[in-house]
Amino acid sequence: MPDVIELENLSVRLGGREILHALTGVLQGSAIGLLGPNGAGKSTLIHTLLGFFPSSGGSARIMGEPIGGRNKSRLARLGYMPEYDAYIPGLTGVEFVKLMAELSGLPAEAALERAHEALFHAGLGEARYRRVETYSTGMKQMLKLAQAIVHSPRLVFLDEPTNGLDPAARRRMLHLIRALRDGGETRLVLSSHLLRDVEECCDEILVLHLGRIAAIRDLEAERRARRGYWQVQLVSEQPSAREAWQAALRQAGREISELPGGRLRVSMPPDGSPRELYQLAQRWGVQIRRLEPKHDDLEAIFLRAIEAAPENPHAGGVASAHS
Amino acid sequence: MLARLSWKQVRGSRLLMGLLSAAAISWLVFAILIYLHFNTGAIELLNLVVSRLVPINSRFFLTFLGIQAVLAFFLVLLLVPPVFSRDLAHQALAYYLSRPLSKLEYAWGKLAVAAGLLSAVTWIPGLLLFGLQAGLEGQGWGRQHAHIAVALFLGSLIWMAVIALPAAALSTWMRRRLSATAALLGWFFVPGIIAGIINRGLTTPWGNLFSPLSLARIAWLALFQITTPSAHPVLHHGRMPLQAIKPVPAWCAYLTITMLAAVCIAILWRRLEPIRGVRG
Repeated sequence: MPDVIELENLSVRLGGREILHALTGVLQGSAIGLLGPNGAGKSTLIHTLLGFFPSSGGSARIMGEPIGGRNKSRLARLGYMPEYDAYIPGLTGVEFVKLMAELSGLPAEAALERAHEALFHAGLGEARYRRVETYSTGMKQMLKLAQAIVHSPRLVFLDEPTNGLDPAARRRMLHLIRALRDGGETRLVLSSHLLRDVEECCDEILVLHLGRIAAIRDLEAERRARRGYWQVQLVSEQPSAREAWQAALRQAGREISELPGGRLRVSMPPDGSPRELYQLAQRWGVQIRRLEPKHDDLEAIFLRAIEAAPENPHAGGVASAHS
Repeated sequence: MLARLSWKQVRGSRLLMGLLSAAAISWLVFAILIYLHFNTGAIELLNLVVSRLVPINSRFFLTFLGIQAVLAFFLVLLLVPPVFSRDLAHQALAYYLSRPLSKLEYAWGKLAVAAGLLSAVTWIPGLLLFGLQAGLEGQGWGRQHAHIAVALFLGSLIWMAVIALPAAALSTWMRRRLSATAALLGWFFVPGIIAGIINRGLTTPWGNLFSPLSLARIAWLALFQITTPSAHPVLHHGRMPLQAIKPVPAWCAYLTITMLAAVCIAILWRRLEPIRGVRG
């Protein structure tokens, strides 16, 4: 099985501004999460891989095929769910999805059959004969998903699929995405600013920051090797005692960082025992009001990647780290 | 596929049916005028004098093309802006262009219905009239007047280029149907007014190059081989002696129309972008 996406010094310049800077990396997951703050270049990367934008340098491959030009057989094997509200008014749901299937190369009869299937799969079976402009936001999102997968693409790009969805619709959308991933026939790239969505659906992430790769992580490996830590809330009348407690822990080799709400993040010893914390607290006269064992989640991975990335886009080379 | 979709989107329009009916009636009237020349029974019955009937010559076919061209313009107003604005106003272009469909195929698919219907009211009925006349007249009339058939065909294509391509370019530029329709009306009439002002003010025919209507007419006159000075747009006003003003050469009109078409295609190409702006 070839790599899903290979990037080799891929740069994209739009409107005289470089949006993506020499991206290099290989993505192999069955569900790849594309993460990054607003303006990081997530959508630009997707649009470049779809051929909407030309690259200004470097190259990229999807499933082993270069993205340059409009290779029809490659495009027929891709699916795309746009981020924004997009539809063709005047068509019913089934007409719209059938048209998209036909444009992807399916014969009319098969396209109709697959359109019905995709709409049922997306939970729009009852609404499939309604005009798409009458659909609610949630229904339109489902419709966008249905048209993206109707032709059974090998790779589907989902750009912010849970945008504007209420909690129930969001759960349903994530369930559909997981089902798509677990089906095994379609690889997917999920761009989202919601870390939970990515954590729930993806097995690999690419973090973009200021148009550069901040990290590429195998989430499965990260989950297996999750680093533990203690989340601690202290009570102390004297700030000096609190500082002394922290200094003693640092001396003992523990990493400490501040968390919101005055809490502390203390790296966990290999045996995971809090005895050391209590002993030092007793010695320095501080009271541990709350102590919770925690593990690194995607947010921690994401924040570390963003913090490690160069702030100045012109400061240095690519910060890619493929695991 | 896209042509089928475009047809589905416009086929229910009463205005479309009205315009197509008007085009058919117009054709029928011209066909009757031709037929009258050869039907002695009808001539006697209606007490007509053959020499006073409308002569069947280049000008006859030019008049037919002129009438059909007006109907074609309204067809373009009706057909072209909606097929593009539906997609562009609702950001649907990315759906098409993320699939194995090029911009050219998309544009052609969207314009195919308009091209088909414009053909159905311009050169196809024109050539049918020509065939009718050639068949009834016989004696090599068709061969002798072959330039009329060529003029009907090329003149129709020129007209389509002058109205349909700007319509497509303006529709993709404006994105909204109403504004695109208004812009198209403006495109058609405002340059004509400017051309008139230039022509009158400077006593020159060159202002015609600014008017799509005049450009098409100059091209048609050349194609139909009609050289009468009064037929040329500017010379109708005639502040100067008619013969003193040399009309705009046809090649200038062809060149301007070609440049206009190229600009429209460039605009169309540029505006058919699947994504508007950079979102990050």
